[in-house]
Amino acid sequence: MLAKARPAAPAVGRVRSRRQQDDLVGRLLLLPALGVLAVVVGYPFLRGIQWSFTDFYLLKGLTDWNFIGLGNYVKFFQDPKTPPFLLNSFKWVAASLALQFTLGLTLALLLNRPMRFRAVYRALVLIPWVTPTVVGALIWRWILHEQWGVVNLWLMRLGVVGEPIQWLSDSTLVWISLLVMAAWRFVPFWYVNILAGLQTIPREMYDAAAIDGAGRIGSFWHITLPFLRPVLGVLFLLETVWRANEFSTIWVMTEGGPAGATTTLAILTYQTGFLFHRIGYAASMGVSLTIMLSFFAWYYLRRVRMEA
Amino acid sequence: MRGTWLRSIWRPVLTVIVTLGLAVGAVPLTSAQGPVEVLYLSTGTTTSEHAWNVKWINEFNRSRSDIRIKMEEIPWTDLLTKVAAYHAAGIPPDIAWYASSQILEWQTLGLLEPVDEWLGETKKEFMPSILDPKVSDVIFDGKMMGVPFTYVGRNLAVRADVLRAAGINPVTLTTWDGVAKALKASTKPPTRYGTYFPFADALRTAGAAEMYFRGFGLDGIFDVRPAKKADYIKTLQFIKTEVFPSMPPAVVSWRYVDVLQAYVSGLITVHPTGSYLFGELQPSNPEVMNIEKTKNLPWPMVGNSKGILPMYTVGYVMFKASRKKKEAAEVLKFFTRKQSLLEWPMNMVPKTGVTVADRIQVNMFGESMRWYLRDWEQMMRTATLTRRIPYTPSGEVNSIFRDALLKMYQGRVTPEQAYDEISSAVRPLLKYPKY
Repeated sequence: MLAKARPAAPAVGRVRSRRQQDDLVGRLLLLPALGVLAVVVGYPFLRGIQWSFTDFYLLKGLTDWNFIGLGNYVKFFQDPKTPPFLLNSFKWVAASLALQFTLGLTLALLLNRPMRFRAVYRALVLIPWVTPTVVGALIWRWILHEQWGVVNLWLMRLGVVGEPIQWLSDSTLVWISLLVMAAWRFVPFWYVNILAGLQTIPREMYDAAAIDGAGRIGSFWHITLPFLRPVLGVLFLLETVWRANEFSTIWVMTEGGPAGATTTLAILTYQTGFLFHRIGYAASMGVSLTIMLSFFAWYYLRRVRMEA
Repeated sequence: MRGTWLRSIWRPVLTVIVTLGLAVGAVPLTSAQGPVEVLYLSTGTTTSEHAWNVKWINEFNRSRSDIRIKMEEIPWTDLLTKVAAYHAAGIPPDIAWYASSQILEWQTLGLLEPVDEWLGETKKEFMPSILDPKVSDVIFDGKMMGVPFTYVGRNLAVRADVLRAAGINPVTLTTWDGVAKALKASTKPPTRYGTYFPFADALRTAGAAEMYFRGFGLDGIFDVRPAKKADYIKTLQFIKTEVFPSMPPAVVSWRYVDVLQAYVSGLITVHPTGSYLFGELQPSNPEVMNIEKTKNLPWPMVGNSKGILPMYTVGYVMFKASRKKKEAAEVLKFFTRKQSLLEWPMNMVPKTGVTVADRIQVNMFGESMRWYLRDWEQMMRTATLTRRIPYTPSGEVNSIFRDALLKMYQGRVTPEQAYDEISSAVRPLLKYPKY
């Protein structure tokens, strides 16, 4: 045995060396992409952090700024307008996720069952996802337009309401409008990921559970959901970050209105930086949002790891 | 071993090097041998403005082998940010459009190149009022910092057909009483309303409100001087009692596009606007831009029966940091020749000796524009011409004003409280005018 094992040693070394070479080649090939990322993401990110400690204001000078320490952060967290905007961000993220998760899961469960034209339905569901966000938001804006929108037109024609519903002008209804649009746009992403997760669950698990007397709800709770946990974990993490940073949907639909009712932190950052030209202050808002989201991601991943 | 390693790596490394080399090398190869590129930032994003721009750019590029114009179209609201970004990146733009607030902001920042010397004798062709330091918005410290390509007037456009149907003679809207009566008479919810504030758009809300503030003797929405407090509150009171009840509830979420659609469909009757309205609407809605349906009037003014027309210019500026001033000046001269200005689809030509007939002959709208230009010719003869006063920081001031006005519309504050809210927030911000 030993005599036979000895000649194998150089082969193991060759394999290791080959792996090291592949590893090196892989790293080298990553360099151009990393270089581009450093320029278009890394540099602006660091610059943003730097500016967040300055009084950079475009109308004072394009290169004329002073370091003011934590001044912008103190101002931001002491501003009485900040809590409502933070609350708006929280409402938007929480409600979007709840609605999108529910609808995405329902759709995935439905379209995971055998049925005629299943492939067609599966493809149709993806249409909103491939529609550009701005286009989708503009279409929804017209659909819900108080004066000329098709929803009000039909509600009035059918005699359901006597006068136009203020879908985008009422500070409560505007949230419903936004959430419906966001669900239309983003549910397909949930659906497609959950469906992929569902298809990894072995059929035998359900057969065994059925033999043991488990019902549909029992199977769902004890087999489907636990198997979907890794997919859902990633989805919740990604979607929280994406929704918190969401700009296009809200801006195109409402521009943060009416009267700031749908102004989230992302919208506020844009307004402060690009409309009011207060770059330093806007940078501090962006950095604050990044810190909050990073903290959330760290806490969430830690919980997931602990549970695993 | 070494040989194997090298053999495995040389192909990918070489591919990366060659690709990068080609990408980097491609830039100097093309730019070193080609014409000088002049970067031109335009905010002319409407159909007719775009068409005009493209036509003259192509014409210029065809006629010159040494200079090439590269146009970038951007919205007014992003112009300063874009200019700042270009400057910060070390590649300043050469030419950009300005309106009154932009030229003021850039001048305050010291970004502008005086264009007097670059224009030479051609500047004498501009209307004297445009070059008069007392009324001009392009003269700073005696130097001409911008080249106007159009002279814009702010006015009131009304749906004459709707007013007549409501028993109102459109010309009675030259007084505030007349406006109040017309708003009341033309409001029949949910299909007819008097006027609007597009609350989702702070810039346009401030623009629409300007009529009331100028007409009540203030310099504008920013005029929060304590001495003018009573006039400011009186204006807000007029808006609250006479204007708000005539607005559709949906205005809370309206933007400018909604305003135009509302005017075209006859949903609203009274539209505080500017001399650009014809060029904006004619291409898509010629059925409304005619003498039967649209009547142009000056803004009413307390104590002035002739009414007022606040005027300003829109034109081009050249940036001090531009590295191609000589070429940029060539472009400016070409763009502001009488020939190209006559074809400009909107407003008035800022040059002397231009008649309505001159414009009809070459303008893209031809005969259909005659009544509109005649309206303006007559208004400019009879009404009091005044300068539209720019202010900075306009974006932030507009937003503060819009928020307070919306609160007043929603019944959350009184005119007095709205004034207090606006004045306390605006006064510390105002860089110009200093009140």
